Amino acid sequence: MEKWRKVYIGGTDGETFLNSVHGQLGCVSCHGGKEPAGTPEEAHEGMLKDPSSQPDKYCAGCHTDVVEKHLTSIHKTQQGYFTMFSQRYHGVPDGEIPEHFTAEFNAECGKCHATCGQCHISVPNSARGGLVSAHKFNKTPDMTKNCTACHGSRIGDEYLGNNEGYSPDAHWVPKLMRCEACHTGSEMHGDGTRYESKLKVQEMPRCENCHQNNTSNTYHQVHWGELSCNTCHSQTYRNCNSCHVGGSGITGDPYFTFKIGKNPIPEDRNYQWVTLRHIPVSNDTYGPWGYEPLPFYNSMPTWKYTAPHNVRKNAPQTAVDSTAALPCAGSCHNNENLFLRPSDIPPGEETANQGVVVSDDEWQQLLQKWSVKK
Amino acid sequence: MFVKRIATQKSSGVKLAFMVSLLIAFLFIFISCEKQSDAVTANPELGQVKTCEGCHTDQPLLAQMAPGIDEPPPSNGGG
Repeated sequence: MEKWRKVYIGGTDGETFLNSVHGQLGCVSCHGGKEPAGTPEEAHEGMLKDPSSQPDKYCAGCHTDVVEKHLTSIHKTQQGYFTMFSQRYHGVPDGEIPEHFTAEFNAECGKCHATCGQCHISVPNSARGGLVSAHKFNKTPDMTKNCTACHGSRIGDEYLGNNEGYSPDAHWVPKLMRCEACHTGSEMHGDGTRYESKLKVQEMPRCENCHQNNTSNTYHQVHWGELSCNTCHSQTYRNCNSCHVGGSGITGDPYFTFKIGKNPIPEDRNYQWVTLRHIPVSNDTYGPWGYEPLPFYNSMPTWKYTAPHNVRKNAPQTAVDSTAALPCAGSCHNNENLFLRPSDIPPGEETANQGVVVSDDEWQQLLQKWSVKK
Repeated sequence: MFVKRIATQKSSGVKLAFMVSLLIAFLFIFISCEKQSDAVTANPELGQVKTCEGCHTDQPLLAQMAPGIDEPPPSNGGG
């Protein structure tokens, strides 16, 4: 994007904004600064770039309910990071977070937190900012300039089919099935509850909200409720190695793989088998801030429940040979590569993942189960 | 004769001083103008008192003040 365009309020969108309720407020009423002014420096003196970083002051006057709920939403609090840190540092998800950690987090990782404006007016700061539609307030955020500007490397690339050799998600119908088709405003804004992680959010969409069990489908009859939908319908997806604070960011090369394992969160997602993704964490992730090693690093898996956004009606796992004695053998059953096995676990992470990995004994039991045609 | 020569010399000196002053004045004006045209703030439009809208709806002016392309971020953040 040209630099000037990032602050341009012209064109049709600019006119729309200037004639809107927000536009009629006048720039300085939200941004401060001085108007009129003789020089840019004078005009911008004391200016607030993103007034919605203080939603109580600038947004709540009209949008009271949304602002109140937003303050406890995952997008605002990034609570998941604190919960995971607490679990690995204190051994419980809701332990006291050291003030020093919070300060470091806010200064480095916290720059990704979303203000009202970074979804409804401008590209998020973490994606280098700039107005989306000439300062027009967009009720629905722009899919690529807002949503996947942050959620791009995994979710965005998967959904849009940007990963070479893989198809876009079956739901991706341009201008129709954008993020908001599943992820509603009330999910994004929150419901006023401070959830400990995104997977606890009540309004998070579920496949089953739209797709009920089709009893005429043999595979659904057999596996419904036992396997997460992604287990059969996702393609291979991107996994991360690690991440380090202190400026390094993501470390190690991401890699593509597909792993089925035991469900680490049965209380939130009632399946037995799910897809798992290696998340960017290691025992020394917070080392540069002085939190190394993490005393309870092994108390939770590094292969985490995931719902890859690249589902297809027909994925490699569903390519059964109905004429064979064991139709599912190879495409899914007996295909050890699809399952998270001890050999897939990086050194030092064995204990952390013992609850999700398919052990040798369990693998033998599965092979025995699959050897009988149903 | 001596008096006439002195008078002529005096007149040439005044002329020379006048010419040098003129040259300095021209140089001053030239340098001042040159300096101003180099500076972004010398844009005649910016010399005027403006409103926020006045600048932010003026595409050529903004393009002059903030030239260039801002590279897109690498797609490696978030989930």
